[in-house]
Amino acid sequence: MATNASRRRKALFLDALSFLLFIAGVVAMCCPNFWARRTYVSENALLPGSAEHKFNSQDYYLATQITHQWIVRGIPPSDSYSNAKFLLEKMESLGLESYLHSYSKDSTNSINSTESYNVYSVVRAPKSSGTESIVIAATFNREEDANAPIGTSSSLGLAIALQKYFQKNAQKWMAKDIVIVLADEHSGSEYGLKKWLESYLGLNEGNQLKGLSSRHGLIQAAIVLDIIPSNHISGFYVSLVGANGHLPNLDLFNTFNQVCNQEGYYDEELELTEMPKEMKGYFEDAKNGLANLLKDFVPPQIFESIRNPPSEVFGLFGFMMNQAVGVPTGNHGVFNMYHLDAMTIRNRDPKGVWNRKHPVVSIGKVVEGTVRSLNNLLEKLHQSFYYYLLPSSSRYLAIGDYMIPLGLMLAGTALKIVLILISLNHDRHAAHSIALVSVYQLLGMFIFLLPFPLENLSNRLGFDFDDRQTISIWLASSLLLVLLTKLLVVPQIRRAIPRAEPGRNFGTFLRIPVIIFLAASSLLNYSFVFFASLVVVPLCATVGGANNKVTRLIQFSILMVASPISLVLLFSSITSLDPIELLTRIFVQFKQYSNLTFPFLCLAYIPLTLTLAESVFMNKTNKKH
Amino acid sequence: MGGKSFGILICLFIISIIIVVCEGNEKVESFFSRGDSAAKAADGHTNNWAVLVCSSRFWFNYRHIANVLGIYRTVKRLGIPDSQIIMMLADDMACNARNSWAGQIFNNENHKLNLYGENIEVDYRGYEVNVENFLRVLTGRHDKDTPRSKRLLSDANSNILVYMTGHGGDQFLKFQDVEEVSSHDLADAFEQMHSKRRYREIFFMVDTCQANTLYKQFHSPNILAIGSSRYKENSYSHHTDIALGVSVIDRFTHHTLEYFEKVQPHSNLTLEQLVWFRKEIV
Repeated sequence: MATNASRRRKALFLDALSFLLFIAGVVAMCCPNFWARRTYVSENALLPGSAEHKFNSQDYYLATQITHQWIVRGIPPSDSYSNAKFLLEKMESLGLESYLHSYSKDSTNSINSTESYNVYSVVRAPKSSGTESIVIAATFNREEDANAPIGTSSSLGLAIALQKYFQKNAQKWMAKDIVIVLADEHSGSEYGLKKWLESYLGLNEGNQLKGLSSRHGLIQAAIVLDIIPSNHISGFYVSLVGANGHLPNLDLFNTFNQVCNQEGYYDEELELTEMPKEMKGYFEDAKNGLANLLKDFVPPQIFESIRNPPSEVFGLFGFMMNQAVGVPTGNHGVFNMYHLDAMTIRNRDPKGVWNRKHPVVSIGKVVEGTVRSLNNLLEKLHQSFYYYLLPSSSRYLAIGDYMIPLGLMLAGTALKIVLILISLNHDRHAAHSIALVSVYQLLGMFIFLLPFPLENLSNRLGFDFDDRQTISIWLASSLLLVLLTKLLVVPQIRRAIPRAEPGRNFGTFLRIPVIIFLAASSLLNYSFVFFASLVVVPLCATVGGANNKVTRLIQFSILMVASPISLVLLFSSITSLDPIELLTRIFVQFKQYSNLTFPFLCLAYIPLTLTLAESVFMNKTNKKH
Repeated sequence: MGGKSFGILICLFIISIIIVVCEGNEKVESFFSRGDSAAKAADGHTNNWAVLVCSSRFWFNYRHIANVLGIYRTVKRLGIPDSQIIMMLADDMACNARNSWAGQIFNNENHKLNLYGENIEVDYRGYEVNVENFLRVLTGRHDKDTPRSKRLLSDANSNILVYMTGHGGDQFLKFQDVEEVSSHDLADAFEQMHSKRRYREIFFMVDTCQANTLYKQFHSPNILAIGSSRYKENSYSHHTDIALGVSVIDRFTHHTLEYFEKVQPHSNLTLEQLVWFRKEIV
């Protein structure tokens, strides 16, 4: 049997090792330039940039005309039918085969639901059998379109002009049908697009798409246009992140990259969606704080690179933040949910004199080039990655690279758990710990499942609560449940397993659920797990097993700072929403997109903090856990 | 007296006929047997054949089809008839939906010459182009019901051009994206042809990456081989046709065809001069 001193030394060594591994993991993610690879097009069939782009200023002029006609149409935005009819007539007068698609706005199909409309058009490939298609999506009724300057084009105008161009000039090389769909922004374009896609895929029994019901192909890829009318363009923003961090095949983006290179857009002129504005300030402060802290300890080059990190660092954290939140950054998320590759393209205004101006007609050329490359495909994109992180448009981190920092971060905690578990005796102490941890996990599960029956109940009883009220009730009930568990259930457990020493092994078992949750979810949404580990691993390392009053107080205050309630308050102040609103949003996003925030909060984090609180105040024996 | 001299005359006549016939037989026999000798005789060559193979399919391999069609046209123009050409095209580019010039195949971006037309004869098309059929063509081991147009009916006096193009690597050539023919298979096939006396001389030309490795294993006599690249070298396309959106010809074949455009039937140019011409380009 090892002595107390040697055991303490071992524990200290393990702690130091975990700390070093954690720091190594975090630092590795902060320097993507060292280990990111260059992007390249994997699929030989794509041949991006090998064909000339014939979309010219005449075609662009049509786009500007349509934009202008839209502004002066004289129909209020709320009248979905008339707006859709206007577009339908416009497209038919251009000779395009177009149809209306109606759907009810209200998802509960109640009596007072209103009908909204999408407009879609198809150009069929004459030499092909129509088994595949490429989709271009845009929206109408946008606020930005209402004030478009003369001579500029909105995404609506561009989509219709592109469709007309394809019909006129592209049918000789088309091997796939090209479908454009215009969704009503006023009624919620994401919902409208989703309904259209469901009809297209045959998921809505009664709502078949006219003209396409007997002949429409599998969607190979979709491009969503999010163009702000402008006279100048200096680059593009590309959004790839879909629901819960799902990404399209990297080849879709690589193709677009190559086609943009052909049109003269290079490097940073092609950006991925920016970091959310609210986070940018905090990121800057953290970075400057760190730089000042390390000023005297590090050589000047490293200090300089901390103060002015390369743009890839911002790019990577922006990408990861968008992926962590799990909400699609554009309408392409609708396609992503059915595992169809899609991306959103947005134009970028020149930010200053140093941004080169490109001709606006290049927007059309770039979309044409991408469609032409996608047309060359023989099968769905499958050669390139689905799991990647993009620090910039020419660098990527593959899953085999980015899992390692996360592994390093979780390694310390996991190692400690495993070491304890293999030296464990199966006794009543372990049974007691397991029982306690299980009770809190069950509590977490109840809290997670609670909002759904609440909603059902409220609908059944006719109260018809909206999401916010449901969440308020949910919050109150969860707090009640927590108190009940703590005051009633836990003492019963203590009584049921007699002569068990509380505190022994408890710390080990309480960390197991959260580590398993994080490790398993890292495959679903890596960025979320990365940021969660930044909070969870230090928390697990510092809190638990207090010996004296002072340590107990310190650990309790750390726990208070990191508790779910304080985190919610922190985020609500960052995003300037009130806490109930924030919780409501988290819940609604979970219902819509199945992202990880709500499950993590209920199933992993709340039980973790509760059990940690339990362990802080437990009467400890001499033996360390 | 008259009868005796007449009899002598007839004997002399018969003897002279016998002598003439025997000598003639010898001449005829020696004429036909001259081709058997494995020496590099200038005579004994009576017919020419060509086996032209494109082993890759898909739109982005347009240039391989164009390669073979270019060689086909040149070979036909210089005198080998369709009945003695076996052409294998693994895919149909002319009627591919992505072809803006439907029904036409070009090997130059000036689009002046349509290589596909009504006067071409493709013997093996689509999925018939595979390793098994290719080796059957070379060795002559066919099913009973294979039509004559699909057989290489060469003999010991045939000079055969074997031209292959596609994607390849170290001692292999890829067929149709699913199988490969290796340099050992080719060497074996040519050895079988040698022992069955199916050729007099073979000119083996290959345009693919690491082409020279493909003839590394040849051990039969009278085979001249030329490849477009060495071991560990890639072969590249010559230019991209931006209107079609694909590369239309490979460099090696492009320059070879350019040389042969100046060649007329009955010319006295030699292969050595072709190689010198190529050296000037490289």
